[in-house]
Amino acid sequence: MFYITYVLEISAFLTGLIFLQRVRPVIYRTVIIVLLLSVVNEGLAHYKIYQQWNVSKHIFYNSFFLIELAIFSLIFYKALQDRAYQKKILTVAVAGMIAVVVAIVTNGFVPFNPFLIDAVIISIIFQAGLYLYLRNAGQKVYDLTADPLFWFSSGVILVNVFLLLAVNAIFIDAFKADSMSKSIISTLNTIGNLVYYAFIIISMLCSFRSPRLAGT
Amino acid sequence: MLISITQTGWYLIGATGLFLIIFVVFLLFYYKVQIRQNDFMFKEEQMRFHYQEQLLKTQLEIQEQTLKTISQEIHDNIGQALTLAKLNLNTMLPVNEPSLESKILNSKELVSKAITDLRDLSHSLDTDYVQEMGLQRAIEYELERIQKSEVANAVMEVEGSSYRLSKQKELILFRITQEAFTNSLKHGEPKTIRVNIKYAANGLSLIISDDGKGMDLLEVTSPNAGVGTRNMQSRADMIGASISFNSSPGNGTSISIVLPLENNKDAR
Repeated sequence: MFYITYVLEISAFLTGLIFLQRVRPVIYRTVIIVLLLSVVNEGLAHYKIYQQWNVSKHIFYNSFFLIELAIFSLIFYKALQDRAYQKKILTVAVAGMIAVVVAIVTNGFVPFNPFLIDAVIISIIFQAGLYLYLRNAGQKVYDLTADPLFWFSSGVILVNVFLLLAVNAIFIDAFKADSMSKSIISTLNTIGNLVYYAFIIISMLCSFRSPRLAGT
Repeated sequence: MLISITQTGWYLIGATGLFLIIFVVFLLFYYKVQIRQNDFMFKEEQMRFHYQEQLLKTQLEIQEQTLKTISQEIHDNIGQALTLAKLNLNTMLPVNEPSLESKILNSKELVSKAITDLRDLSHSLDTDYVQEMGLQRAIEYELERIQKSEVANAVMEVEGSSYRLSKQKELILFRITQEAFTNSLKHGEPKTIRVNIKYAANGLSLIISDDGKGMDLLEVTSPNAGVGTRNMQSRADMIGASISFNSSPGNGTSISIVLPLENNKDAR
C-alpha cells in the first residue's frame, strides 16, 4: 500500500515540476516544495535512513508540518485577493501558529508531539474550509471544478481529517493492542493520501486549462 | 443482548461521525454553489433574452419610422408633383392636332394610375393608417392592390367572428403578411395568393399560401440565406406567435401563423 501512495506522491511532485510555469495561481507553485519535502521525508523514513543516521524521524516530521502550515497559509492567503478575506485566513493561520508554540512550550521539544501536529492539522483544515467558503462568497459564479484550489482544498481537508484521527488514536491505550482498529485507521489514512495526491494532480492539470478562474 | 463497545470502538464511531459531518457539510456546500451557479446562468439567459427582445423591438420601431417617412414623402412630394403634372396636362386640352390630344390623354391616364398606385403604396407603408384600418382590412387592402396590379389573383377567406388585437400585434402580423406577399410575388410567380384568417376562441390563425414555384426550405432557412424568413420568424417571436413554413419546389408555399389566446389578452 505504501508504494501506491508513494508513486502517486512522486507523480504529483513530477506533475508540478513539469507544469511549473503553467500552474496558477502563481503562489500555488510553492506546493511543489511541500511535495518535495514530503517525498524525501517519506522515502527516508520508509527505507529507515533516519534510523541509520540515529535521528528520530519525528523531528523531521515536526519540521515538515511547520513548513507545510507556513506554505499552505501563504497559498490560501495569496489566492484570496480581497483584503478582508485575507485577514480571515491570516487570523486562522496565526491562531494555528500560536497553538503550535503553546504545544511546544507545554510539551517541550519532544520527538513526537501530537499536540503540535493537531494544531497544524486543525489550522490547515480550517483554512481550506474557509478558503472554499470565501471563494464562493466572493464570486458571482464559483465554478468549483475549474478552480485548482478547490481540488487542493478538498484533498487537504480529507487527508488532514484522516491524519487527525490517526494521530489522536495514540491517546487511546486500547488502540495499541487492537490491530484491527489500527489497520482501519491506517487504511483510512492511506485512502486520504491517495485522494489528496490525486486531487493535487488534478489541480495542477486544471490550473492551466482554466486560467480565467485561477487568478494570478 | 447488550453489546459492549470498547474505547477503540467509540473512537471509530466518533471518527466515522466526524467524517460524515464533514462529508455532509461538503455536499451542502457543493449543492449551494451549484444552485447559485444555475441561478446566475438563468438570470444571464433572461437578460440576454430581454436584450434580444429590446433590440428587435428597436429595429422594428426604426423600420416602422422609416416606412412612415417614405409614406409621407410619397404622399406629400411625389403625389403632389404628379397631381400638378396632371393639372398641367389638363390645361393643354383641347388641342387642334388629334394625335397630340391622344398622347396628352394617354399621359393623363398614366399619371392618374401612378397617383392611385402611389397613394395605395403610401397607405400600405403608413403605420398609422394600417393600425386604423385593422389587420383584416389592411390585408384585404393589400390583396386588392395585388389584384389591381394583375400580377396574381388574390383571395381572402375569413372564418369565425372577427376581433381586434392590440395595435402592435396587428401591425406585426400585417408586416409578416406583407413580407410573405413580397416574397411570393418576387420569387414564386404565383397565379393565386390566398389568405385565410381564422378567429377562434383559443387564438388567431393566419395562413398565407400561393400556388407558385415553391422553394427549398432548407435553403431559405439556412443561416446564409436572406433575411426574409428570419425577419418573419423574429417578428412572430416578438408577439409570442408561432410560425411555420411549408413549401417544396413546384408545390407552392404556405406560411402559417398562430397567435394563441394567452397572447391576445390585450385584444381590444
